[in-house]
Amino acid sequence: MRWLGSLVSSAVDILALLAETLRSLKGVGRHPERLLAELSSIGTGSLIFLFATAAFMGVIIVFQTATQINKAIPDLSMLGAGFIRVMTAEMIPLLTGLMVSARVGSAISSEVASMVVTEQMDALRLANTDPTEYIVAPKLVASLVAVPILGLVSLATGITAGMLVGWIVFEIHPSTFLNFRYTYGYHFLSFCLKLLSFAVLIPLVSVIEGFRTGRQGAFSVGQAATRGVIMSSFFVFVADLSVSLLERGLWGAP
Amino acid sequence: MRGLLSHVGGITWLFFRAARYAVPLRLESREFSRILLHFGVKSLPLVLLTAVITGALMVLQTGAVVELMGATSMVGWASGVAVLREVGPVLIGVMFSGQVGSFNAAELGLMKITEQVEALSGLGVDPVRFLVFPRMLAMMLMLAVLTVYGDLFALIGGSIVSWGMFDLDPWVFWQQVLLPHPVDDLLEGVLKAVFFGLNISVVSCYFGLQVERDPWEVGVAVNRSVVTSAMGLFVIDYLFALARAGA
Amino acid sequence: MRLKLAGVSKSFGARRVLDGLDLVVDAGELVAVTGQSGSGKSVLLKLAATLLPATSGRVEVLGVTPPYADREAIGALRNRLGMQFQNLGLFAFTDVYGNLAFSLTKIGMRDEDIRARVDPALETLGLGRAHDRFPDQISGGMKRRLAIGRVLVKLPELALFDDPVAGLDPLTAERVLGMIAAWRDETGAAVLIASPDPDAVRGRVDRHLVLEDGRLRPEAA
Repeated sequence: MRWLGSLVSSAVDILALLAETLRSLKGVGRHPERLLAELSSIGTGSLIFLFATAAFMGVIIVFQTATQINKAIPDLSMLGAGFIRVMTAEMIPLLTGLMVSARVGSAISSEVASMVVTEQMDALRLANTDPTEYIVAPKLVASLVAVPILGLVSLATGITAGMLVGWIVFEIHPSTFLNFRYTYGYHFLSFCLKLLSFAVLIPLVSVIEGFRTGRQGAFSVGQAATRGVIMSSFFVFVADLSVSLLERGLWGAP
Repeated sequence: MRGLLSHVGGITWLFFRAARYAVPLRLESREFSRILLHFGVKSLPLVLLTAVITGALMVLQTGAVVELMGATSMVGWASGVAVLREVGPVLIGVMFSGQVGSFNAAELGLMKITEQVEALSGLGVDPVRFLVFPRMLAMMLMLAVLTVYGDLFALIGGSIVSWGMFDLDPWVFWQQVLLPHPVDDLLEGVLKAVFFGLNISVVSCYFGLQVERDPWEVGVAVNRSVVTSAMGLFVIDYLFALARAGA
Repeated sequence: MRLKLAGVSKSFGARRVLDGLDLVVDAGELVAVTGQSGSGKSVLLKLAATLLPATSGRVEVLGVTPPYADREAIGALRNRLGMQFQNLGLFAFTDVYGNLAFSLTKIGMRDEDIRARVDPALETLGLGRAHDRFPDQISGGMKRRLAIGRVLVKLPELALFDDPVAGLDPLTAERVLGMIAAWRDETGAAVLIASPDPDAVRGRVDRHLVLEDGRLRPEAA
């Protein structure tokens, strides 16, 4: 059960780091080059990856669901409606969160671990530069900008891919497929809330794992990279479930 | 992304080099069992926990849609099929790639930096035979087993949510899941998991062994391993969907 | 008196690394501290650099007790210090020029003045051709020279070097120490060097101390 204790202490650390990072936020303006570097690394770096996985996901889901429904009741008219709702409320946010935590989580934690091991953090402090302001805050800001955009791009891509499959393979006309009747405002709110929480959790969790590393060179960097992915994807799941339960609890049935 | 595609050739080559040791089977059984314990047992708790969460999420979403269409009796069935064939293997695969895949890449990367891999070659042992092949088999086996357990836990999570949210009696839920004899679906999911395991093991071994000197490269290896195997997972999943449609 | 430590102890949990240690370094002095690996040399240097607080005892850096709680004040103090770290601490996010210029930009120097100081330094350090390369693209020897160069270029009043000649052949080690000594002659800074190898620093320094059991003693000849 030791890993449970580790999870709890991670949660506490996240809140502490969040507080400290928020305090340093105003200083981010002093180092615009860092912000741009992070935006490029987190945002544009993940774009194609998410584009591809979202498209695959849309295709696979429509494929599987349509085949299944066809066997039971050969009426695919509402497929699009259900599909769009599930993509918006659940699949796309979760996919975006997991893919970003895979890509960005390990990168950030190993970068931070590497900096700790080579004493760059100490060197920054000696050069009168606060590591939280210079390293952590730009990552958080970049993430808050990039992740929602990545989510929107994924949503558009996934739905389009699904629509194309529905049209080409199952002969569902796009106008029938693009039915937003089952997708309500609060689903989109869920979508945004999930993406925002991922945007906050992923960089912070990864930074914490990076700092937690020992000082054993390559071993510590590898360990940090691994833990960065594991912990950030775990917190993505937890946040996703929490928002989904909250949505269900607040707005109840369809 | 383009950079990663250039590694596909190398990854395929590594696969063939490792697969050579399958026929006839030349397995270092001690190393194999060590890896099973080392990797498999460690990842169990977290994978199961996320499986429960996944199952809960699945039911939350599909259940609501099914309800909309007025087919509450199908909640259990829809969840069963979805989890066993699709969501279970894919999400467990992603978690596994993150846990075991990255751990493997990091371990092999470290072995390269400390020149252990070179030492093996020097002793006349093929690193692919001693390191890669056992990991390949072990991860295929592990992921298949983890998927079965994970599916179970996901469905448990799903039954809890159906009970809480849709007032569906767990007994009825399980009947809905099991009645249509979902053994086919389960087996399809497990077969998928085996391929996922193959994908994750070869990719993580490849990037781990690419590490040269700098500790920083270990982080790069982990990152590339996780991203590339995630892509691979989706491609495999897509191929399975195609095959199913063709069947 | 650029550095004064009186009865300083430093513990990490139950582990006591420095135990009632005394040390004074004056302007223009070149002092070496040697000792076995793990004896606490890096801890001593980081404490002198105000990066670590002492567990007990008095610490005076450049005549003041380090104001750990006041970010502005301690930043201003650190602007007048320089340290070369054992693991080099080279910034991966900027190139060779950027590494040398980094602390100067934090002091508030203008770009032209920074150029005027860094360009000649690049030549002296033999890094002129590599000025736009990143730390992971240069050789081990160049990395070391860059790490030392960062200190020299900052023109600190107290300069700390943690194992500056690690892994260098005796001839190159001699040259590096000569460079540090010449710099000291020019600037009158106080210099503290830590090294696990007494032979490397002997003869080049004004005072040679040994760190043993958490304390300093003069090296027996």
